[in-house]
Amino acid sequence: MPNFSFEERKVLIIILVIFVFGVGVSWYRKNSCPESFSAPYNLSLQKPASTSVPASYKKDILFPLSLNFASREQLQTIPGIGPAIAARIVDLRQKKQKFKQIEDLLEVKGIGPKKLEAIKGFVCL
Amino acid sequence: MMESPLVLICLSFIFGIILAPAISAPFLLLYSVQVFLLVLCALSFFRRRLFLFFLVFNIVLLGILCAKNQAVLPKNHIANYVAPDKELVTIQAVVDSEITNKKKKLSFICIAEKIKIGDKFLPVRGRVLVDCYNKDYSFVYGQEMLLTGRLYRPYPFAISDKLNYRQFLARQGIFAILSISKKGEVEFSGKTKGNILKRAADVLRGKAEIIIERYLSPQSRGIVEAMILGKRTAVLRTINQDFVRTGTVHILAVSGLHVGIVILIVMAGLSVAKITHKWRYLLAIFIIIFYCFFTGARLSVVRATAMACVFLIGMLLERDYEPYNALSLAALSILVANPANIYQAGFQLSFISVFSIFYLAGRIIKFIAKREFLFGVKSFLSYFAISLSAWLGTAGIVMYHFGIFSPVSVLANMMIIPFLAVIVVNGFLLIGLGGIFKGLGVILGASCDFFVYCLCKINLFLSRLPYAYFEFENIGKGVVVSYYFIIIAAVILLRVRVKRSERLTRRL
Repeated sequence: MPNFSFEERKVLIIILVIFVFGVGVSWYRKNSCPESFSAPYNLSLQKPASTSVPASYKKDILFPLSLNFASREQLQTIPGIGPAIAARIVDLRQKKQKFKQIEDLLEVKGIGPKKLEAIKGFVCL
Repeated sequence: MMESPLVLICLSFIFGIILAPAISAPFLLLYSVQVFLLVLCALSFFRRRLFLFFLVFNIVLLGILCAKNQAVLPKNHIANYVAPDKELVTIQAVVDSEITNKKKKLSFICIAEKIKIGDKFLPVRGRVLVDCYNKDYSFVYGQEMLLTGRLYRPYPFAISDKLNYRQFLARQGIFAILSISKKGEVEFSGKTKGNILKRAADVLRGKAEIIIERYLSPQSRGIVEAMILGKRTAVLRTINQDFVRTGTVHILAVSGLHVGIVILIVMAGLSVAKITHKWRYLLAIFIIIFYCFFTGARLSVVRATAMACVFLIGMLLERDYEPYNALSLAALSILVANPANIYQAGFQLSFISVFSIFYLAGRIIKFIAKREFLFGVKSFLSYFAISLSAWLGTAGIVMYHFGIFSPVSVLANMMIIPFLAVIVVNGFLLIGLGGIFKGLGVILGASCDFFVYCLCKINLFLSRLPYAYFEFENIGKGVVVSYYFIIIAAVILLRVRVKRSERLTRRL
């Protein structure tokens, strides 16, 4: 067990106080930007102050995505798939109940042979 | 190790960082608990065990707070300006890294300062990875400029089964990529910002690259650049793969050995110049810090530089050097700056290898020193002990991150490290003298080529030996934990046995 002398204990407490103060100031500065500086998009990587771990750390999307289980938001992370096409894919999936092959995506408005080739690597069944 | 109090502090801090993702309490609550514990720690000032108890708790909690604070992005972080559909944006930024020239693009990291919203420029913060597809532009570290391109979040492509590209960039503090097309606009303001040392190091590195290119063959160039300048982009993939298989790929990363050689050269040069001890140590500290920037300030070289500085400052103040304290201080200085470094393979390997050498090799060498061996055998066994200790310490982590287990690594390191030392010294002489005396440059370049050729041939031979390496897929954390548990148990058993035999011999 380390045996700190009185001087060492003083130094340790002072260093701890400085670091704790510094972390507090850093966190305060990050969370206290004036409204005019806040981003126009509500796509912040962080959740509100109650949890400080960015959402991207907790639930990260790994490709390939399952066409039969991916959510609309997950589908939108595929390059070339926007909100409209993602919604159409989900609607078609609900109609068909299940995609049996990736080529079924050709039935979605906005996905042609070229786009299908481009997104094939990002999806699976 | 018990005389090294920084080890306990460092381990407590690391424990806090690892625990942070599992703790979902609000930051303010944790901060209040921290302040309360700090008060208790101060109140228990005169009671040794209680003070230690609260100190450890404080440091664990500080680790948690640092990790959580690092994960929080400021409201005006550039990542919050990433639109859902890759909008064209204009940002004012400063180049903060060296420029990587890839096939179709130039890539570098910049620090965003302002973003154009409408007609106004609003202040922002954060690092951005820039991919510029217009190779007509030339960028230099510290340049301030206006960049117009498409800003988007990195795609989470899987790099391995444990890591994806978005996570990989996030650990470096990068949450957005700016893609500048061939028609994209870049406007230079003419101002240069950034660290003066880094700028000077950048200029010198450029000149060193020119000298290396002038005098070395294309095959040697990549290896020498990796060993001396910390630039691994030119190393051939097949050669890199061979080094990975023999467990000697660490020689392509600037680390302790390189920093040690730099210190030796500097101290030798300064003693020849008859500079006093005090000034020798001060100059050596300055030079190795400069060398750290010169090689791109990667984790391994930062670790080695921090330890070397502690050693040299200790010599300057005429104090004893305590290796575990120095190692812990280096780890703390890196983790306080960026707690996410704990998850980096480079950080883990860098520190575990040094710790294993200090702990295991130290004991084996002490054991060998007490025995009588033929001349030369002791040195050989000590050298073998160092290589074996480093391999035992890093094998588990290498298996986990890279899915490879190299039994040939012990022999390979013993054969290859001497070549590394010769190539590094040769390379420094080439850079230092080759730029001034062309004739010397040709001779030094030829000898460097020869040593690199021998190094690659030996490495290739070793990688082709039967059972030189084994490749695995999906090594879980359980396997790694079990591996280290077995190693630690074996070490403890051996220590108990050695102590028993020593007690017996004392009684006799």
